[in-house]
Amino acid sequence: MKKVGAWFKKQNAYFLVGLVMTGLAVMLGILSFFWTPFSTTAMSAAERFHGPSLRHLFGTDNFGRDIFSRVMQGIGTTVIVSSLIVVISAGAGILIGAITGYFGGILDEIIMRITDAINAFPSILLALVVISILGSGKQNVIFSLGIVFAPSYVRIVRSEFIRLRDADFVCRARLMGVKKLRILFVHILPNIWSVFWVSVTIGFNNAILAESGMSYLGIGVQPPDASLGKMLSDAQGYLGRAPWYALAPGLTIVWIVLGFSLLSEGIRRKEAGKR
Amino acid sequence: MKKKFSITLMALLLVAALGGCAGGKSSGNESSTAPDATQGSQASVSGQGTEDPNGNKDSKYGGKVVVGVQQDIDSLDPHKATAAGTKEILFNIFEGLLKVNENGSLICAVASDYSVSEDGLTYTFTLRDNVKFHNGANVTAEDVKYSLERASGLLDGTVLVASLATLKSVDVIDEHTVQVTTGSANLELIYSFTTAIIPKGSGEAEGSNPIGTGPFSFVSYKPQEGLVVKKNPDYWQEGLPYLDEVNFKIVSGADSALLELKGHSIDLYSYLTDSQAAELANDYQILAAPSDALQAMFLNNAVAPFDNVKVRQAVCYAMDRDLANEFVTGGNGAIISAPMLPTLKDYYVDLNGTYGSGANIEKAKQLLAEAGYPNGIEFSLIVPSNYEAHVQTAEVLADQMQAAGINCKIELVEWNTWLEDVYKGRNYQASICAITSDMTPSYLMVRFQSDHKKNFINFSSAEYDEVYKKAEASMNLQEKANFYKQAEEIFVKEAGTAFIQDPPITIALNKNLAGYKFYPIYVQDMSTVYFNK
Amino acid sequence: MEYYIAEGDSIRRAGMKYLVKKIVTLIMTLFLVSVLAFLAFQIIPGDVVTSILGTEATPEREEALRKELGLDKPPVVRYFRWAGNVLKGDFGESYRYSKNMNQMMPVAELIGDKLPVTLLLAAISMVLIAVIAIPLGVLWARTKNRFLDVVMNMGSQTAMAIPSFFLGVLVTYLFGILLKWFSPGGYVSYRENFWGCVRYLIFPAISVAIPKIAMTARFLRNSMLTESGSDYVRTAYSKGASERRVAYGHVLRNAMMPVVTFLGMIVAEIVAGSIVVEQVFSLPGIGKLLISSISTRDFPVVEILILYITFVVIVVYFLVDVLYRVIDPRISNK
Repeated sequence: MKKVGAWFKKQNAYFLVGLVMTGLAVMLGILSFFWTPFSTTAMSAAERFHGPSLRHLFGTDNFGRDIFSRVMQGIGTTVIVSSLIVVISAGAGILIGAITGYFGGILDEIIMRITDAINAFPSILLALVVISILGSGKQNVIFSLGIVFAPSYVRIVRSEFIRLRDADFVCRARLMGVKKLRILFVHILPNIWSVFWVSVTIGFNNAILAESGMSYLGIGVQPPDASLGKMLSDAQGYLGRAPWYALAPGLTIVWIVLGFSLLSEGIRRKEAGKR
Repeated sequence: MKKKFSITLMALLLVAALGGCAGGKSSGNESSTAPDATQGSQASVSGQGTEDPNGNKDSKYGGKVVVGVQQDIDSLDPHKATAAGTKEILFNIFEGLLKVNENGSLICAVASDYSVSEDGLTYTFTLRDNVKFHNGANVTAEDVKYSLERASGLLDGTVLVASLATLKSVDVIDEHTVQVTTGSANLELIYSFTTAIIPKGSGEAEGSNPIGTGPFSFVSYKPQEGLVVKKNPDYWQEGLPYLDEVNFKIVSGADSALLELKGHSIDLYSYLTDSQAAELANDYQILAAPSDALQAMFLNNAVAPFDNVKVRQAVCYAMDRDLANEFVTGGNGAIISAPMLPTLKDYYVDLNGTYGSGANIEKAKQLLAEAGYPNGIEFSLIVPSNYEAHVQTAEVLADQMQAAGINCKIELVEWNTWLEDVYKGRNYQASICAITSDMTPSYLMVRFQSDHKKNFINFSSAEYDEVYKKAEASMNLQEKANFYKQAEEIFVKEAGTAFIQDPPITIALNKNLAGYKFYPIYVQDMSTVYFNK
Repeated sequence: MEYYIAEGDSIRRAGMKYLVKKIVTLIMTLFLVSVLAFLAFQIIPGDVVTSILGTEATPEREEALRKELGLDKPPVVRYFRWAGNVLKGDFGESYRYSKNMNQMMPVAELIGDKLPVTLLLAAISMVLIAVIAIPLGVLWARTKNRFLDVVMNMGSQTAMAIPSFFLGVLVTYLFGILLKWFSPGGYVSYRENFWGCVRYLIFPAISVAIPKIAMTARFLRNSMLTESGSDYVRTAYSKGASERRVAYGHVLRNAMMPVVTFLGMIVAEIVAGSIVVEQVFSLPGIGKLLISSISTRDFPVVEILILYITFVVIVVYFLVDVLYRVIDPRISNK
């Protein structure tokens, strides 16, 4: 216990608040895989459009479904989908960015042009292409957004590798005959972690916003599975009658994204304090 | 010998209004001798929907109205336009020799009278005097000949209006008379003479704007913004239209339509969902009528598990149509079980008793077990994502049918993907969608013949094919109706598809507007709409 | 979709060589993007002919239209024919939108008609961002009040956390439905009533601007704090300059430089089409045109729009880069 207390004391407020916010959301999301207060799909004609109450914390929707349960499930979906998007895009970013940044040359040129092209390409069209090849559903949202976000990591990692490739410790390693792959991933990579982690937390937020945006446009997670973006788009039609229906998923997205932003701010300040 | 065939034709097949031809004005009164199929549906229209357009005139005239429409225009050419959303607008600009009125009957428009030869192969139209195009020119027999030849493909070989493909020739008899000869007799062909009459040559003339004879003339069109029309002062129906200008404004979706209605940016909007209507009830007149579409869970008869008739029947039994109606359309829909609209009364046989309108879970389970699926079935249910009502129906039914061991995995697709994969490619298991109607029974039923191009459910029944062919060929209306009814029974017995309902169409109308008429086809007739104040 | 500023991505060679290289890069990227878009249209389902003619057309008519649109030719031929026309300045005609009875809308005319809406939205948004974010950023940098700092920090973080579609809905609900300051969907065309159009665009511009204001203010504050720590500021203080003078005269001027480049990137992003905001507010701009053209498979329109967006993004980045070099010669020496 003492250890935990000491650890907490070392953290700054941003980090702690962010941790609590994201922690709460993630826990609710994980909990939803095992238990929700009500079924997320069961409809009830008698309980349509009930406002928030003790029975239904966030009220009920147009089918009489419990919004709190659906938000819980939506968080679960969103968090998992976004994590995987980050894993794919950041993984690809490290691999491609490290190689192109370190070696440069014609390969670098080609890959940079392709990432430019992907960057400039409307993400919705890209998503449509991937989804039409693989069919709709969660895994393809993950895959297509993974591609969309990879270039931003490539750029960051690449510029860090360009910065470090002529650093003294790298030159020394090279002179000592260390294998290239080892230089890349054992010598240089650990030196870019702090920059990398900040971009991961920001990337996580972009992934959440993009996933909910896609679901909002109807090409993301499919009903009756709950997704925060899809819920929000469904709810838009009932703004006057049941504002809580739109506010619940909307504010939940804000909550999660804000949590991660604070977390990233906390990490950044901690790193800045170290230097 | 030529007989005035049109009297029986109109009275029996088309339900009403030969008198309309003589008088030139549409009115429900004159159809009182014939049983009016759509009258029942009109009763559900609340408020001032269908008042006589005569009366206190001065105060009614003038004003501009903004009508929200869901789809952009697909063509400004009335013969080439295919989207229902375009036709509903062009109805105000263009007219055919004949025109559909609010009862679904044909009335004379550019023609003042017509007759059909006894063998059903020759149609003779007398043109109305002094009908003017929007450019001021009088409509001549040459214009009519040109328009019909263009639409039917006689002009350049490309058939633009498919139902006119059987035309053999269009001849100008004299200045006021045009004779049309067709290759095969078909009682339903008369409906195709609603095809727009346009000035000779205007279809090919470089850069020409749409010119017709309708109550409103074309002013401008901007993609994604809308189409504006203004009053045609020379309109042949005296006293019409009332409004000076109508702006058909394209709204991007049901949600933004609701916001625009709340902000009073639009005066009239159709296709509201039930809960949207409830939200607008204080600010607008809410009117409802049947939409005359067949909504169904279409089952692909050629793929497992729906290649087994027992599975299809199980779905029909398990489906709680009442629940879908209650949840999605506020209980205002008409439950259907057969591929025919209740509003086409002469051809409709009520088969709702076959599977019941509620859910019969036990019977469904039993049938599934008999079919070799004791543990139930799972399939993907494809729904076009742009139709909110279908998506909601899918959600309700998917949840409800689980009780019978019928598990649907909903998959939302874009409309164009739906067209290619489901409709053309027939590469699907089940899909919720709707077939719209054009007031002819054949339009709904022709598609279920085994080898028909539009048979996207792969329904296959030799018995149905045979009976349908008889219905199509029959020149006796009573007999024809009976064959159609027989075909419906066969289809329902085979559970070709699980029909749900004829969903209601719900519109919001500015409280100061009156005179709006519902049509049994997809049109927005603005000619009779006027401001109260 | 540019989320990061490529800081370390400095260009080593200067002058003409740099310019030539940039232009070659631009052309290569445009070519790649056009090929990608073309391929995308080969892959996504949905036949444009069916999309246009609906379900009732005869096969002959479908065939005739396919021929008319040149879709009967193999893809490679079609691509190069299209590319050749574009190079000649002929952007083709929309498959979908009519100009009149028998002519389709030329793509150039269609985009030319929609672009002013997007540009106007971008201009208003930029004014809002500049007018609000810069004072806010300065205030934030100069405040010694810890509480105010935390409030600003939380406020900007929250503003950046709101998804654009949710923000659009909130603005519509608050200003449109509750306060009735504007009527949602009551967009008036700039051709008819320019100031009416501007008035309406203020509200979508607010939705576009809020997160960008937060980002810009934050960026300016950080930039100012970095500058305040630098040598010349200390020199200025030691010479006895007042704090105000230092803050506005030296620090702000130097701190604005990176902010200007940051604003440049925001311009690129907005000019490239605020897809979601245009959708929510029913604005007939190019973002909305892109979405509807994708869904109707209107290839000529989508292809040109994508090229336009790519072009704008790359050129603005390029200009920002050049501007940076002109103002701050240190960069080329790096």
